[in-house]
Amino acid sequence: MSAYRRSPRAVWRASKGMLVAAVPPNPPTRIAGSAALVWSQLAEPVTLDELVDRLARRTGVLPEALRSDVAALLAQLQPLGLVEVVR
Amino acid sequence: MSASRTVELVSRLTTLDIHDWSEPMEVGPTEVAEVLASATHEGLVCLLGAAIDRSLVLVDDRSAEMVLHAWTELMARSVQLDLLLLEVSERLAAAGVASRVLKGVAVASLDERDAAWRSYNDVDVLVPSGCLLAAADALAPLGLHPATPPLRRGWAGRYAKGLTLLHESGAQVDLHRLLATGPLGTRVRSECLFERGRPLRVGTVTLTALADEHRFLHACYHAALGGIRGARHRRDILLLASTVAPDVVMAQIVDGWSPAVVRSAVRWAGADEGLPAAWAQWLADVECDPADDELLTHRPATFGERSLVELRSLHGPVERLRFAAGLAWPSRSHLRSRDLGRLQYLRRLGRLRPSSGSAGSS
Repeated sequence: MSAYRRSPRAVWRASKGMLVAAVPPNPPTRIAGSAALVWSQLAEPVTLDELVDRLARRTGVLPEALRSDVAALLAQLQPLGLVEVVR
Repeated sequence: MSASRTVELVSRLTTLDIHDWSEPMEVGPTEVAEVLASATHEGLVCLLGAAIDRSLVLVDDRSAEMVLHAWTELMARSVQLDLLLLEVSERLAAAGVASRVLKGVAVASLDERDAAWRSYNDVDVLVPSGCLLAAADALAPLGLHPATPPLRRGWAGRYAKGLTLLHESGAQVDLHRLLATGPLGTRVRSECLFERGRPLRVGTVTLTALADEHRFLHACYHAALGGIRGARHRRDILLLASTVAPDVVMAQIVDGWSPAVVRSAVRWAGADEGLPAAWAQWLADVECDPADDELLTHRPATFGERSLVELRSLHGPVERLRFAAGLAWPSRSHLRSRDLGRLQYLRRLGRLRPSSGSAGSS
């Protein structure tokens, strides 16, 4: 199963409500909301299921309610080079 | 918002996570707007955002949204500058020019509680004092060019504190060959800054910042000699004072650092709260050279006065003559960029009344 991790090349800043990140030479991407929480879980490779489970435990939200949003965020970050797929 | 309440908020933000807050502070939309409108060099917006995140400052939803937006933009700017720093560092290394990252990302990553608590407006890099022109040449292919042509190229490489380079994106790179000018700055043996350093990770690249004690000294020199100082400069000193002991700093005096400068800066930074006990004790005990105190008290206020003081601090008649010649006869491009005629320039050089923009430290 595929695992995801944030790119080690990423230069980034995060707070509770925002994530700003860039992989050279791309300009910084700004993402509002809880993206920073997802980002914090991507320091090491993690599968989508593991990621959703961890976030569910952290937030108290049901995994099935989180899954599509998390998948959409990963899909947004991948083409920017911010998240890598590790097989 | 009352003035005293503004002062309290700024003081609390300046010492966020350094000094414990007794209880959360409620802040209204007007106060938030005041912080958002504060000068960027104060660095208060990120600290306000962090304090709201930690529920140490309580604001309404609209204010929280405005702060978050401003904070995000400052972080985007900082990340953009980090990307430029990577390019700058790569070019300098390829040209064989050693470098040290100053302020900005160095303080954010090594000294601040969280890198997102510190924003910055430019890239600051120190190069060996004899390599300023080589460094500037190495960076030209990146589209970095002097904001103002130097007085004279050779003169700048020998005597200027540094060069400000402008990128086509509008970003600024301050290339330094000294941390501070004037007799208190030029007597520091700048080679010591390259004899050790602190690794700094930006993405997958390891750069080098100043060693801890040198970052502390730089923060002090900037606060005491730099002209503009505010909450950010105060916080930098307090953050570093919590990790750098007085005896480590005092051991650097052999390299020309002045305890009087450190005393002045630490006293200012710790005037309210947040100063570690060891530094409070040091302030009570330290004895400084009266000549340094005199230099701090009577700092030259005009371009002409500053130039005269710098000329006097040079050794030997040849050096003094070189310095004076370059100063008295700047290049045409320099004069054009300042919209000055040669006569006007010379009048200004000889002026004794104070003018704005007295610079001393980077």
